[in-house]
Amino acid sequence: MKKCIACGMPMNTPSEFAMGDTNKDYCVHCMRQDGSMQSFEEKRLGLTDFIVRTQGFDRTAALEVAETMMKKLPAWADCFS
Amino acid sequence: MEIIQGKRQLQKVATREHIIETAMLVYLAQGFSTPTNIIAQEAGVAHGTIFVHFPTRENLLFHALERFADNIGEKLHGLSASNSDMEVLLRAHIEIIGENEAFYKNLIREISSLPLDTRSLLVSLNSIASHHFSIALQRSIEDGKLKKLSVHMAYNTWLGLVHYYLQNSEFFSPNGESVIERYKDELVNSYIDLLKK
Repeated sequence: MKKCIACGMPMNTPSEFAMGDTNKDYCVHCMRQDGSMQSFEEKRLGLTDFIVRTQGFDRTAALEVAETMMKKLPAWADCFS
Repeated sequence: MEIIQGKRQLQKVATREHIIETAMLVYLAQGFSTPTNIIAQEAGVAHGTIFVHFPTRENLLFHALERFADNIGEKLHGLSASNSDMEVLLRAHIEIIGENEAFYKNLIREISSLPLDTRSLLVSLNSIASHHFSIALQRSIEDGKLKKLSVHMAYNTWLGLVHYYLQNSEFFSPNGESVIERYKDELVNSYIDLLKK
């Protein structure tokens, strides 16, 4: 089982992979419309928005949690060093 | 020489794995603040060996809890959009929580004292669950079955209810029976009733 390098989501079926391509390392939620992977800033904003919408956190706290999650993910670990 | 180094490497990986697995069991039984010397004792390794593999107590805690979170996250991910009926989704969600009741009880009781990276594991789990929850809620609202509520308020109300029972399990289920097993029908049915139009 592969996990998305950009958000950590498990990818079990082709529909969960970007462009339905099981060779890709990122998921359908982390891809742009053209199929490329979202940038660090796009993902940070998207993840923060998602936490605010679904869990109702204060936006500053949600951003901090989003960054904490991203530090542990292969796609973004270097962005924090 | 290469064979010896390869064996040492394998031994190192095996020891690290053994420490994580022991820590998972100890944390479940004794709580997440259990000192590393207890984990070393249970694992049958020297106390210093823990720190060869994990630089700090917090680092070991994170890796052990990450293992729980990965296992639970995989199951939560399986809730998927096919569970678009809210009641079916909630039943599946509470079953997963029930299967990991000891983990959730400890997590809820100790969450405020955990480091942010470890707390974020719970946020990740809730992100997965709330994603499926939001799809089911939206569909039920569009179908006119449920009240028009924000995703976060509807999800937090559900979670708050379940967490309250877990947090006070000694009162709700004093004989040691699983509090989730005992109350899951009432929790799901009551919550759905509250949301119904």
